[in-house]
Formats: sequence, C-alpha cells, structure tokens
Amino acid sequence: MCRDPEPGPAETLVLERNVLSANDARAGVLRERFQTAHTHVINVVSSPGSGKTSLLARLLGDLVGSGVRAAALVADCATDNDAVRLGACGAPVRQIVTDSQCHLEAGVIEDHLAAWSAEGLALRDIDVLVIENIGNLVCPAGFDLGEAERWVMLSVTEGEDKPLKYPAMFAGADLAVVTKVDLAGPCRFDRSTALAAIETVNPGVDIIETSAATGDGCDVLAARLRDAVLRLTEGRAASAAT
Amino acid sequence: MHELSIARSIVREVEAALQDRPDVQVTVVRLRIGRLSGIVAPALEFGLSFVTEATRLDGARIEITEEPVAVWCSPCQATRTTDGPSVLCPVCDTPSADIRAGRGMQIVNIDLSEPTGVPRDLLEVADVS
Ligand SMILES: Nc1nc2c(ncn2[C@@H]2O[C@H](COP(=O)(O)OP(=O)(O)OP(=O)(O)O)[C@@H](O)[C@H]2O)c(=O)[nH]1
Ligand SMILES: [Mg+2]
Ligand SMILES: [Zn+2]
Repeated sequence: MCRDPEPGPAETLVLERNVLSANDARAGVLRERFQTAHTHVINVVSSPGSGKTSLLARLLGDLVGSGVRAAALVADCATDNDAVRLGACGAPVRQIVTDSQCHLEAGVIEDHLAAWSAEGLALRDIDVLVIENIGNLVCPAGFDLGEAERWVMLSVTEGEDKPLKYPAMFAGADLAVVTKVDLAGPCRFDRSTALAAIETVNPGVDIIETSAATGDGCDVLAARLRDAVLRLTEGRAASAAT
Repeated sequence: MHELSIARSIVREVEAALQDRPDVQVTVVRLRIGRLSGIVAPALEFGLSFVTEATRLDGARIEITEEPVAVWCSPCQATRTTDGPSVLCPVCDTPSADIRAGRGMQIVNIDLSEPTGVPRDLLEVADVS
C-alpha cells in the first residue's frame, strides 16, 4: 500500500457542536425563570443612536404611570448615561457596562438579576423587564437572552435599506419599531421602501412607527406591553388558583 | 464585532471535548457558518489566531464552509435554498419568515495528532518492516 510521505492526521473527531449552545442553554433557563415569575421581557436592539433610550424612557414613564411594575437593564460599552435617563421615571434601572463586548449574553443578565435580588428586587416584582442591548446590528442577533420578544429599531435617519443590509437582526425580531418619524421629512425618508425592506426579511412582522420627540406611537407600544402583562397576570391568577 | 468572543467559545468547546485526551494536539478545526449567522469568516479567523495561542489549537488550520440559508416557502410548499443571506424563495420570490437553516454556527469536526514524538500510523509502518 502506498503511504503519504507526510503522516496524515491521527484521527478526526466529530463534534457537530453549536458554538452558541452555551448561551442558548443559559437563555433557556432564564426564559423559564421569566415565565415562572410572570415577567414579560423584551430585548431591544438597533444600530447605535437609533433612539432606543429616548423611546424606552418615554415608554417606561408611560408604564410606571399606569401602574405597571417596569424595570430596565441597559447595556453600553462605557458610561451610565443611559441608565440615568431611563431611571428618571422612577423605575428600577441597572446599567450594564460591557467594556469591549459588543453584545449581551444570557450570563450577564443572570448576574444583574442576582444583583437586583441582593438589593431586594425580585423578578416576581417586575411585570415588564426592558433590556436595552448594545447599539449594534450584527452581534446581538445570535445571542438569546431568554426574552419573550425581540424588538428591532430602525430610525428614519439611517437609510431605508438597513434591514436588507442586516437581515439576521431584522429576520429574528418579533416587532420592528421605526423611530424618529418626526424627522422623516427633513431626512427624505422613503416610508414605503423602508417598510418593504422590513417585510422582505421578516414577512408579516408587526411594525410600529414612533417618535420619542412627539410621542407618536408610544401609546401603541405601551398598549402592546400592557396587553402582555394582562395575559401574564391572568396566568398568575390561574396558577394561584390551582 | 463579537468574533473574538465566538473564537473563545470555540476554544472552550474544543478543549472541553478533549478533556480525557491530555496528550493530543489539534491540527485542523472545521467550522460551518450560516449565511444568516452574522459571523464574518475573516474576522473569526483573525480572532482565532489570537485566542488559540498557548492552547492545543495553536497553529491549527481553520477550515470554514458556509451553510446556505434554507426557508420554508408556503406558496411552493417546499423548503428552498436561497441566494446568499436572503430569505426570498428563489422560485417564486416570496419572502419567508420560517428559516430552516443558515442561522447557526457549528464546530463540525477536528483533526487530532500526537503533540510530539512519532505519529501512531508511522509507528505501525515501522512495525511492519
Ligand atoms: N428628532 C428626534 N430625535 C431623537 C428621537 N429619538 C432619539 N433622538 C435623538 O437621537 C440621538 C440618539 O438617541 P438615543 O435615545 O440615545 O439612542 P440610542 O439608540 O439609545 O443610542 P445608543 O444607546 O448610544 O446606541 C439623541 O440625540 C436623541 O435626542 C426622536 O424621536 N426624534
Ligand atoms: Mg441608549
Ligand atoms: Zn416559493
């Protein structure tokens, strides 16, 4: 038998292992904890500066004002500016400073829930937990945080074809929020092109058009979350009755 | 980019799989990357060149295959492989939200060799002579 002069590999070991599986497993555990605690969790993603904090600050204010126990975790590579803005309405807010990390992972959420719990804030005391992810349309797409809903935001200032350029992020969202619609005119925002782009990568996804400046669409977002809380409250009542 | 942290996970997974094999070295790592995974292959290779240093993957060749996107097309009643990172059915052009493949990233397999000394198959050859 003829042999290669170079020795071949001693052995090939089949792994077929999903590299993101460690995060998926932790996210699965978190999802169960959220369900047990009847906490509705949303993971908000967008490119940097799309208006996440501005809109969420309004939304949290709305929710708190109507008696919903809302809380937020907000991630940035540096500074706690966004936590200060989100906490203005009185909701509990924790800043996650990620240093060089460009996305949140389930383990980080676990750590911050534990810190809250040490301060006396339990998950069952939170109806809606808003997680503002790092401004980044690429990296957070692959990292489940155990959320019930992923919201992707697209501002009218960043180009109608963003969803086509970052399909993974838009395809994975449960809700697409168009932001800064008050700037649509000056930006010559082509609404139908943008909506078609979203529809192309995520057919049938709910789309809500908003402005943090004028408050447009905020009531629709708040109502969506209140409905989710109502469903969970009914679930809580049902599980208490059994 | 999170390719660096993905690269770290790859090293972690491979080392975990080799826990009971203290004396082997990794020569090749084969990865499958979905077109919709958001992972950029050159950035990942770059990241791996850093994080494999002083591990058993040091110097290993990285082989990457792309996994195409597959969607369930409702009008066609068929699973279709799409063009690039698109979710449009290539036959009827309908977008689909039901993505069946192309979002993940897997370590397919790895090649191992003894770290030092004579590889096993050379010893076998020597035995025969
Ligand atoms: N005109 C207008 N400006 C807005 C609106 N929402 C946000 N902005 C402005 O857009 C800029 C970025 O807003 P942020 O809310 O900080 O955006 P972000 O997505 O939280 O940013 P990062 O967390 O840094 O990614 C700020 O200057 C806001 O004042 C809006 O609805 N209309
Ligand atoms: Mg922000
Ligand atoms: Zn089709």
